[in-house]
Amino acid sequence: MRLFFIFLVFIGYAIAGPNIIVENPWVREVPPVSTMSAAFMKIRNAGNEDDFLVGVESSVSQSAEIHTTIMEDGVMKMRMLREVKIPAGGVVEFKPMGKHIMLINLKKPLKSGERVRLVLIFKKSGRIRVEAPVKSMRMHH
Amino acid sequence: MMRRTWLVFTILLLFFALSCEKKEKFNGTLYDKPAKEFCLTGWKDGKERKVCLSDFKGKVVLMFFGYTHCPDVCPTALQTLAKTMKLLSEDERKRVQVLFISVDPERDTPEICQKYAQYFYPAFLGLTGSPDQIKKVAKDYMVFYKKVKSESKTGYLVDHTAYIYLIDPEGTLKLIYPSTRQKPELMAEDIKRFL
Repeated sequence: MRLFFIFLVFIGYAIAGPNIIVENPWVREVPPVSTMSAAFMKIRNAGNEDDFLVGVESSVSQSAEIHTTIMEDGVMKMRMLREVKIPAGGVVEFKPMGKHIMLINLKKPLKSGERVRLVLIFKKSGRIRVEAPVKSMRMHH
Repeated sequence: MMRRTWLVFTILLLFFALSCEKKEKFNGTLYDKPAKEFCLTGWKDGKERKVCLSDFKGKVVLMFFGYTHCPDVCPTALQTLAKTMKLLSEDERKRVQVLFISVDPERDTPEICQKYAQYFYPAFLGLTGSPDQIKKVAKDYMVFYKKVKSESKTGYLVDHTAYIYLIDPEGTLKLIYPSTRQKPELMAEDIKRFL
């Protein structure tokens, strides 16, 4: 019986906590002269504890930061975010004109079809690796 | 007597409503004032060149102010403009010119501006100028922009208004559109009315 309780506590620990799932990641193809791009995705937390995205590493740029676009009185502003809360049972969407992962100082131009390796760093879940395809927003002729 | 007043009032109201109906309706916000002339620097065939708004008399000019370090709002706006172009016939396209004007003249050289703009559509022109020239154009077109220092590794970011301006073939600043969530179909509809 005692063993059973220990087992239950153990299971409890195992299922408690955040459970981060990254869906549909992609990176925007930008003009070759541009040294900046952005990555977008949905981050789902299927666990029962909040988690926080606190950093990003990228294979294609010198640095990567969490940014958001805000519109205030017709003025577009981009601001850096220290962390983004991914609430338990919730989903946070990183999408154009909203939150995005800014890829700063690209090492080389990104071409659609390539894959970008990203590491998302969470306060509790630690490092989560993601592969994001580069997508062109241009319409094909 | 009271009844007659009401009748006159109703007729007037009806007349007013009808006259409004007749007025052209646009998808953009009507501004309808002469567009202020400017000359900036463009880049063509490996060389810098002077480009003035008056060079495009007889064409519909669509203008957008942005900067090339902007990874989100500016590509989205230029994308929308490229889609708008593709909704026009080949003949109509020849009479439409898109201008991308940098509000970050310190980092955006004429070459960078041009290459940035033409990525979205080959005939787009990217323009820049001295900080003073840009300041003047921005003022004339009610564009607000401001460098914002941050701890970000981007160096600095630029806050800016993100509107698309439509200038008709006679050189009148006709319409202003917010660039976010702007539908290319609606802009194309307006453009066709000026051609």
